[in-house]
Amino acid sequence: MSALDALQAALAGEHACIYGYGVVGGNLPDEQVDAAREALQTHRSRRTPLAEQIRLRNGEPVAAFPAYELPFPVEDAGSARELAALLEQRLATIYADVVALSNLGGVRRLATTALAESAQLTARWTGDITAMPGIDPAPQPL
Amino acid sequence: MTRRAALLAAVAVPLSACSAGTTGSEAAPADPDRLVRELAAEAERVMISRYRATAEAHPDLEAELAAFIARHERHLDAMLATIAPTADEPGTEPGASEVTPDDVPVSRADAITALREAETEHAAARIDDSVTSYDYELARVLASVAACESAHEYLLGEIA
Repeated sequence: MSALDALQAALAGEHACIYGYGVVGGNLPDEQVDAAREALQTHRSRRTPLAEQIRLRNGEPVAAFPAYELPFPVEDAGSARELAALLEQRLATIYADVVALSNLGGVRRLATTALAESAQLTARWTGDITAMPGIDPAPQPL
Repeated sequence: MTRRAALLAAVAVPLSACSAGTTGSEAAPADPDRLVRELAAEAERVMISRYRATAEAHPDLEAELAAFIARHERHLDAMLATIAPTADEPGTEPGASEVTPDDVPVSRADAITALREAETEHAAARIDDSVTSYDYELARVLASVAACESAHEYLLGEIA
């Protein structure tokens, strides 16, 4: 895997997260909707810098799919939080790859920061965290 | 592969510098990340002692802090695993800067706040270390440790 592949995987993951948080937000109680909206904003804001890095490496940024198949039915707050946590954990693994494949400080900072944000959001949605986010096995891919 | 090329390049310069400056006897390849590895391990030791001191000063927190301590112990193990076993020098031994129960704030809330601040500071330092590491796998480990510590900062807020 090259840095370009890892960046493309991260962008594809962000697209999936943005779709996923739309579903998540619609199933959370009012007091948690703001947290989901904030997370959604975080994921949206990462697309542009990722696309820039991909273009710098002569890649064409991957596009979002019009829709995604959910790994399990999301119809209440519990399954919504579970989906959000799953998305964050998957994304953490991808960003850990970006860290380990990029030798440019700027890309590494983007990826380490994103990994930290994903871990913090995982803690928010599950109330727990693994010792090595992005390295400890994540739940299966979507 | 870029990774291999970069690692070879990283050891090439110190090696030639060694042969020019020393008797030319067998020198171990210099590790430009050595200091980062040792400081991160030392920082984990201090963090563990901070949690233990907090649990001792506030026994009602002991059960809740146990999981945090266990994760920091894994971080310490991960950092020690990146330090070459042959490089067994004073730098890898426990330092003197341990936190004692006397250093822990008397108020429970303040004690938790102190832990949160330590985690935030730690996470930022490990992110900086990750960004500047020469060894790519070390960068991944440091980024993961920083991520866990960011999550700790959030989880400690839930205790308070």
